[in-house]
Amino acid sequence: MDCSRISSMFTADLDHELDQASRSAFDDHLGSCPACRRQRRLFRATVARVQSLEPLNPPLGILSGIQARLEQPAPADLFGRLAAYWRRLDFSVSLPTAVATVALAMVMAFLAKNEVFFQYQAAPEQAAAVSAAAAPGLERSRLPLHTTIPAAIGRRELASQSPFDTMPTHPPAIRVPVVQRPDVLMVLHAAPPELLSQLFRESAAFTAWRVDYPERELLLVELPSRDLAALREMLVPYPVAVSPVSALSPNYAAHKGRVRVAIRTRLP
Amino acid sequence: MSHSEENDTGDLVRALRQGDGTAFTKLVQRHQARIYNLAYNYVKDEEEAKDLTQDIFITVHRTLGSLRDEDKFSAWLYQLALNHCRNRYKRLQRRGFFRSRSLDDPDSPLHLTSGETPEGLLGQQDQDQLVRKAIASLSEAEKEVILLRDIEGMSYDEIGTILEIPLGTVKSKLNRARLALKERLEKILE
Repeated sequence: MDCSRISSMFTADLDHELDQASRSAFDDHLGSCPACRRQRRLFRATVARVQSLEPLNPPLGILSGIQARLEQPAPADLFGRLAAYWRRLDFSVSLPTAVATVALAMVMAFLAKNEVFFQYQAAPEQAAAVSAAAAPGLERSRLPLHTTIPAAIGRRELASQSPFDTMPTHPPAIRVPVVQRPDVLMVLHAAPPELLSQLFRESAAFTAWRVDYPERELLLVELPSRDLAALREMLVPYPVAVSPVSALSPNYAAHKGRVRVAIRTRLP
Repeated sequence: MSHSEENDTGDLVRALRQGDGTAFTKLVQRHQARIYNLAYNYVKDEEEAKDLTQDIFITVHRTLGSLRDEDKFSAWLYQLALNHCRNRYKRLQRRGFFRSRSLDDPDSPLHLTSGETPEGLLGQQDQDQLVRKAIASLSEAEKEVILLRDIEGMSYDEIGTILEIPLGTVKSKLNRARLALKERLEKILE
């Protein structure tokens, strides 16, 4: 019997609840282990010390304080009753603060759900401009983000070269049809230029992922929705903006099974 | 709590439910010392313990209707008291209330440097304070089982009922809690 097993039996030993076989093994071990004998002595001294604590006398005024609080008239108005209920719940924020926080959260949720902040789809006139801008030689990275992403993705329809022609010299993952419209857009700020190629290499470990790396600043991944967390983990050291924000939820797109993610870097 | 005390308490609860205004006063007077000690050992602060005790009895007064069996008032009271203590402890912890009160706080007058022994250095009351401080520094689960068993002297069955855990779990938790407390008290026990 090892020492940790012996220490797990100290309470049963104190309560005389060890059966004969356990008692015998316990005593045999203690007979040959001075460290356990010392631990048992300290254990018993601890229990005795705690049990010998003198009860404290409660301070005066507990009963009168209770009676005074019970005799306070109940607030008549709705806000007063809510505030009293809130105090009883014993939270550490005031009721107005909590109400304001909930209201703000509801407004933010409404805006996020309607993608007021996060629209990145090009308007028709912008798309036309982007298609024209996709001609060789144009520095698309200078275009606004909401136009460069569809442009970068849409370019595959225009270009005759393979999606992998512009890849760095690492082994390609599975070749996949180019993703036309991503479900999720992740924009990395202040990430090093080689991050996406590194991410591309690491993604080879996930056999269920389909990965395309059409540009130095763009990585397209189609993966099971349950793997979104793993993808976010890989990006943890860098500030990342995610759209829609609901993609940060563990249950995002659980019903869809697979999710298409576009990861874009913006050099500082 | 003995059977006769429990029966008396049950009678008081029945009387209170039937509108006897003095029954609540008697209930508070009977249980306030235990509840105050439980609260004090949980948060280790007199003012907070007093306020907690009042909160607990006010909740008792307001929610007595939810108690199904009057003869199980004590277990119900301790469940309610522990809930209050947990909530208050978390709130105080969030506010940094315990930050400067750890057992190893070098500014504490009760701090022992290595090599010092408590005999002749600390009186009985100071040693009691150290023990209470060590209990208060345990995790919530460890603290609760120590308070109920070693301070309140409850049976394993009663503790299992209050904490809503099986008997075997009560015993194993108690053993772990005592081992953790032993580690903290070695300085004054050696």
